[in-house]
Amino acid sequence: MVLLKLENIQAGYDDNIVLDNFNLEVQEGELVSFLGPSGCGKTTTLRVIAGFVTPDKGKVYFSGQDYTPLSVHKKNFGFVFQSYALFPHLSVYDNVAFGLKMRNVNRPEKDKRVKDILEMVGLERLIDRYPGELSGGQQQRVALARALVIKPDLLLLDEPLSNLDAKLRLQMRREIKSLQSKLGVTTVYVTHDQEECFSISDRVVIMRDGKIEQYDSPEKIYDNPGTSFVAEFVGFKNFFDCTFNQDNLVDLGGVKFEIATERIMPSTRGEKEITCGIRPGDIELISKKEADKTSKMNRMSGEIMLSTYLGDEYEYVVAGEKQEIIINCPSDTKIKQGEKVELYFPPDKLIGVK
Amino acid sequence: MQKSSKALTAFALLVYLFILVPMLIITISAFNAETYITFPPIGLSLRWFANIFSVTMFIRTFKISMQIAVLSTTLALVVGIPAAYVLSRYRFKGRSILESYFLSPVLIPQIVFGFSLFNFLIIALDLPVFISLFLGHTVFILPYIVRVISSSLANFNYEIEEAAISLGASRAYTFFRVVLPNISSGVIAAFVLAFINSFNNVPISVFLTGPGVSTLPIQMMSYVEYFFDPTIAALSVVLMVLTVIIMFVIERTLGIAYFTRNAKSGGQ
Repeated sequence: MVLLKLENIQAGYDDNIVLDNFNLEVQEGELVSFLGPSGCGKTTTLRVIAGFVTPDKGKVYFSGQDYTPLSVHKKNFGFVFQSYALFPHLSVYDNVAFGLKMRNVNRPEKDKRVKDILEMVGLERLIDRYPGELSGGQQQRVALARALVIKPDLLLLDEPLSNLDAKLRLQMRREIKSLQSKLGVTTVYVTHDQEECFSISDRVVIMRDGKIEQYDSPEKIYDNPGTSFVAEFVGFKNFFDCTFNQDNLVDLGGVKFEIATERIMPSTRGEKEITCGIRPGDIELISKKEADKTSKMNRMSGEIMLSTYLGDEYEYVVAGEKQEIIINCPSDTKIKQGEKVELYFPPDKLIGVK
Repeated sequence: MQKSSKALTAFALLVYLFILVPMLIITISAFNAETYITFPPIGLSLRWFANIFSVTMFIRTFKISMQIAVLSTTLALVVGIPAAYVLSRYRFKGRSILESYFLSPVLIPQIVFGFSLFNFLIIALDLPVFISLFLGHTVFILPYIVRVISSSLANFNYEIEEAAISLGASRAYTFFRVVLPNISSGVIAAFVLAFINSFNNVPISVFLTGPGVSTLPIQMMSYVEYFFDPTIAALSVVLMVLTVIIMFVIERTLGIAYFTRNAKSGGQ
């Protein structure tokens, strides 16, 4: 069931239009993430959903009702801010109880719900502390508890982990995911971290300049990025400008490349000039012996320019015939700088995008 | 390093001496037994302290000064806090003009300001003296209030306000129960600053006082014009002691609690 629906939204600040004709649907119980570079409009979209930004045009529907004119404090949405935005003058208990107080929940029930949620985030011992006495991770948990204790119809999170260190970020994202699925609350999550986003989301909205580039499950986006912008986000580092020769044959300045038909994305339909992309780890090195046996298709020769050690692999920058190519190879063999190599681009690893 | 810090200590000591010595001289000469101010004092007496209370105008004007200071500071807070909030929270047309008005208490010489208030409040509007003093002082201390509260709001994270609203609080509730408690040290600082400015003021009060209604500083000035006995020195000592007591009470009751809490929330 569609729980949240944005219809033809136009929104921005002063003269700066951030979103134009923006449409989105979120299913009940889903965790949907907005991923994109800063300034792409993901936070604005979240603020439109919350009601902090009133759209100039368009409507926000929540379970079929028009929520656009409803003021923020009348919606039952939980919001977690990047800065946590805890109330500095209130204890952990009073911070978490704030929303219940606004809802006139009676004392025994309030106590119970606050204690339960604090237990769930592992903070029951710190109930009398003030925010200034807590670590970043603890403040984050209080913010989460405060938003969840009101049993929100929708949970909105704005880059909630960006102020934490790497280790804590991993731990917190697992906790957010497990809390979200335990409580079954529909969640919209904004982030600029691809790994974080893909690991916890049911579906991902990839945004660019206020538009949706792709809206799909993380697996589908990872395997079949729809555009070169999305491809870059999911680890494609090599891109070539090509022209279509036939259905699945492209021409890269004289070199013919075959691409598996299902890897040519719909965004290329009707285009003559397209972009081919491949991940550094998907390019194969061909030894001299094999070089003569296999066909000349999907091949390119080059010279190793630079090697960097990544732990389990080496990354090489190869000077190709037309452009630089980045490849990753297992770290059991090291190729010397200046050595000539023959590269093979498997048809089922290449993608064709606009 | 040692050398320069010694020189610095000596310099700081000089500055302190420069500030404190006049007050010390006043304090000592307040205990003079003679009927005129001398230093060093001749004899020792408390008669000038007793004399303060025999001059009824001192008692009357002290009461008026207190009333004016309390009333005008309160009104200025009621106007100034929302003004500072709007100026720091919202972007709108004419904001910078309003801001420069509120932030320029020192640009207009007070004597000029006093004269204009006199023309407007007493001559044009024909208001009673007490009301004129009250309104005049309110306008004059308003910029101080706005300035101090604004700097306090500059450190306030407005996401906290949004958090309260997202949890179901109305805008008014959020302002009184979330924003205000977090700028309370600024409000107290503004109150003290405005109160002292109102209580001390001469250049504006001198235009607005009239028959029967005067403020203590004005009364002290006119006393000095006719009498040269140490009563004024004794009164100055009483005022200094009063100020110290007030500051001490604020520091003890509100100061420490607020400063520690602010230090805590500053750590996040």
